[in-house]
Amino acid sequence: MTDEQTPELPADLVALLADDAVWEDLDRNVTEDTIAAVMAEVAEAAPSTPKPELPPPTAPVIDLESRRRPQWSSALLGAAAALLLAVGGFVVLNAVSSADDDPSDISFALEATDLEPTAAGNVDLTTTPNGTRIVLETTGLPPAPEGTYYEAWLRTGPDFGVSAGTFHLRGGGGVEIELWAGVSFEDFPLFTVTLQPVGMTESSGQVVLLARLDG
Amino acid sequence: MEPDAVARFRAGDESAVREMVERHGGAVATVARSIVGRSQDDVAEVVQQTFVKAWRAAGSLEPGRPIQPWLYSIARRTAIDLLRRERRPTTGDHAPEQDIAVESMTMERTQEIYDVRQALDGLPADEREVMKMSHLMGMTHTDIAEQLGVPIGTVKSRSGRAKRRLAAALSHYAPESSAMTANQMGERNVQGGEDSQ
Repeated sequence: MTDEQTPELPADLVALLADDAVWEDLDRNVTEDTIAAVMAEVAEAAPSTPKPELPPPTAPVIDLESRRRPQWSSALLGAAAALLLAVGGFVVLNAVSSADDDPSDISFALEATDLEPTAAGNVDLTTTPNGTRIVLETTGLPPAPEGTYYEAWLRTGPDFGVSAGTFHLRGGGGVEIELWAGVSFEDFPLFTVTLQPVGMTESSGQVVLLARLDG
Repeated sequence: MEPDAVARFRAGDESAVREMVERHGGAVATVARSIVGRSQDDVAEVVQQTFVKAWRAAGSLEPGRPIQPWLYSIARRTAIDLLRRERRPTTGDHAPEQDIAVESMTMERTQEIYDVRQALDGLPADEREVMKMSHLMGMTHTDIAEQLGVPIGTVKSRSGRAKRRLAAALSHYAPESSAMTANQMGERNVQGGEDSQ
């Protein structure tokens, strides 16, 4: 092939070739630091690595263990995972448990997604005459970067949800976070926590924790 | 990057992590510079965060899907987040509307820069060197030949092959008409010179 047969390339791209930004080599130290940072994440996420413990809470702790029922079936979780994979590639990894027979009081574990694989959490939902009270505890969930925040949702599914409130954990976390929602988990049985950029009103779809509460 | 390498990256294999960073780190840094500016510390932070986030999210990367656009989107979002954080006032007692809006290069432009960088990184080293000396340093084919100690015909052939590879790698940018041909990617200062095409 001769130059005359060479395919076309826009002039603005040709002009970029004179910009040193497209030529500058990555500093060797940056390369090594980056590899080290990724490998530190890998090590932290390794199964043998214990998850970080929460420091002592500053508010009274609800004893979730004493109120849990036996774990729900793996079939339920499989169905939830299939639903989520169909819309966003989320993965339900673990079990969900509920409280006593009174459906107005339910506790369950939240599971991580690939976005924050070391995160975990527990949620206590209580239906009150004034709305659904949500008490959330998390471990391994980093502070939301400036310009972002976490938002909890009660959803009917991937397409529709109601915000239950927001938080950022930039105070260090380790506390119970109390949120409220104006809908019932019986009608909105998918619970998610998303990372939201400031200014976005709808869900970003960046789910970091989730659980499904229905059968 | 081969699918197997992506799977190994996802699994946390250090050699795959190294391959990923060495292969794509330059392009990620280019995107970072285009958004956060020339601060080496900021660029380094964006590069590091980008690959950490990429590893965290690697499970969501569908097998066989090109890694470059996915990595680009993470890099751009990371750079904008850093820029927004640094421009945001750090003291309280200010109204939200006083926060400085982040005005960065358009997504289209940063995508172009990223793609050009990826295309350049895909060139063989000898062809990349000739393109750099020609387009960035403004050297003529004669100067390049003297500098490298090779015949001028070798410089011309390397340059021609490089242009064709770039045109192929960036063919999705080629418009139906009114574009420069790769033959017009002539070195900036060789028109009329003894070694012009």
